[in-house]
Amino acid sequence: MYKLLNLEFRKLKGTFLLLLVPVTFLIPLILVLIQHASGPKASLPDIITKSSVFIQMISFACVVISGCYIITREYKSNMLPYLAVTPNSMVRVLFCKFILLFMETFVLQLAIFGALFCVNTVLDGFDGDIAVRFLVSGVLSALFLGCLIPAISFIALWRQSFAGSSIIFLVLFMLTFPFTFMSYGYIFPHLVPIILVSKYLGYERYTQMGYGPGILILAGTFAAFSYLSVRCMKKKE
Amino acid sequence: MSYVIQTKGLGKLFKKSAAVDRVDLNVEKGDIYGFIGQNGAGKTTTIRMLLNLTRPSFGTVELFGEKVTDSSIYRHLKKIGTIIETPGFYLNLTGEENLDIHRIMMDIPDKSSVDRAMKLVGLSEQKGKKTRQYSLGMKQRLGLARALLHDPELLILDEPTNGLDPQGIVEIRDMLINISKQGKTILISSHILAEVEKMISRVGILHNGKLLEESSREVFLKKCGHSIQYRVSDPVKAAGLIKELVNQPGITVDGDLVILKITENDNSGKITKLLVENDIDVKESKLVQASLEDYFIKLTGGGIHV
Repeated sequence: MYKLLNLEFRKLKGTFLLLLVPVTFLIPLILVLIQHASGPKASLPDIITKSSVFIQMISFACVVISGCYIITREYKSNMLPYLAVTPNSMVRVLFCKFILLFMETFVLQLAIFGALFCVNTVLDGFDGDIAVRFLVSGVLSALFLGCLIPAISFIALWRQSFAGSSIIFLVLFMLTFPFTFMSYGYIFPHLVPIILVSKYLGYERYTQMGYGPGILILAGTFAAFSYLSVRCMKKKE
Repeated sequence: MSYVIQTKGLGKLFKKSAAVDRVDLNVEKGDIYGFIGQNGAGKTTTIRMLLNLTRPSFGTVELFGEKVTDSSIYRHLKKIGTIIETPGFYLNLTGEENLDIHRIMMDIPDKSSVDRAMKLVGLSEQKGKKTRQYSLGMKQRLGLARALLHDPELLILDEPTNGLDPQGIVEIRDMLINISKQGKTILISSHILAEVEKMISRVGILHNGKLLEESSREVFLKKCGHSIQYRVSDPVKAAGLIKELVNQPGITVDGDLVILKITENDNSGKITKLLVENDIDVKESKLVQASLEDYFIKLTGGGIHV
């Protein structure tokens, strides 16, 4: 398994993901700093809370684009038969791609919230409570986004095209985005990370909402699409 | 008889029409088996079923004497090198990196196998170049290097000479002949008969999903037969005279040529004498061996690339 995971990392060399991840890291940071510099006087944690929906949107877009690319690149380059004729199960190959995406999501989310905390420390001084809050936010965000990876994988395996599957997700996101601000928005699994992380950061719109339904929907999504992705990967035509 | 590949009634249905229809392939150890057919005849589908990439609708596949199943295939894959359709690569990586990824996937500990394989196909100078910059011919060579990387017992090559220049085709042909001499078995599919005719030891002809014939090269060439061509001054008169003399069908006139299919009775001396005695100038007479391609066209009704 480690061998296959290592290969997944090696395959990233020279791809656009090496640019996408740093850009995704920098955008929230720049946005928060601009708001802090130009807006009315507000503390950095408040600005971050108000920008949490946007930060999660950017993270979601990054996970979708990375996921669709990593899952479909073998289709695009006609590499799938050559993976299938090695003595490695295709399901294990798929799981390695999942792990790679989980790792990318974790590193990215911890880096984003870690950097925001550092900026806050530089501007306002060290605050232990904020450190914990941002750390937990980063972990929650990574876990919630990670639950969507099998769904992204399934759509990518179904469409077998990077552009096709990315567009499906981005259009779906745009069409359902208004539900983010409604009390039942968590029925759309891809909106759950936005809603729950924003709630944890103290976004006032979600203060009455519980974590339970959202987490259940994410867990169901994770299980159902993991099963469907494995089935799709095993399918032979 | 030890068969490396054997299929029994192998078939694949796509939307109720048979892309491959009850094919019984028999590839013996050490064969260079030419799997010949037009585009769309079902060669690639058959190869995909051999490698368990596509599930057969009916029939069975045996590799190295053992029935192929989802679990048994992993034992065999280490002994098989393949090129399937167009060889695919990670275009962002170099040729060497692509082979190294395959080396690790195949559990080959020897890192020098990559260099050896690249040298074998003449790509040593290009190993640091990204595969995105490779020409189609170079990609075919790299695909062959990948197939040979783990020194397999069986090579299954789907159109391996696609995109190669004539010199490249000759080099690949010589290389495959050398590999076969080491006791390895090769199944090579092609729709370009002239390319494979010179190297194969056994032939299977696939047409519209059906295996029309399967035999050794010698038997095929015997079936193809010989003919004598006479270039004469009056071909119509000559054809009439020859017909009277030999009393057999299969005499045709093509321009100034009279073509006579050879039977067991060799009448060539008598024919030449007859023509000369009847004041017909015989400008040329020659023995022609029909090629596999001629036989294929006869068998399938034409339409093959040359």
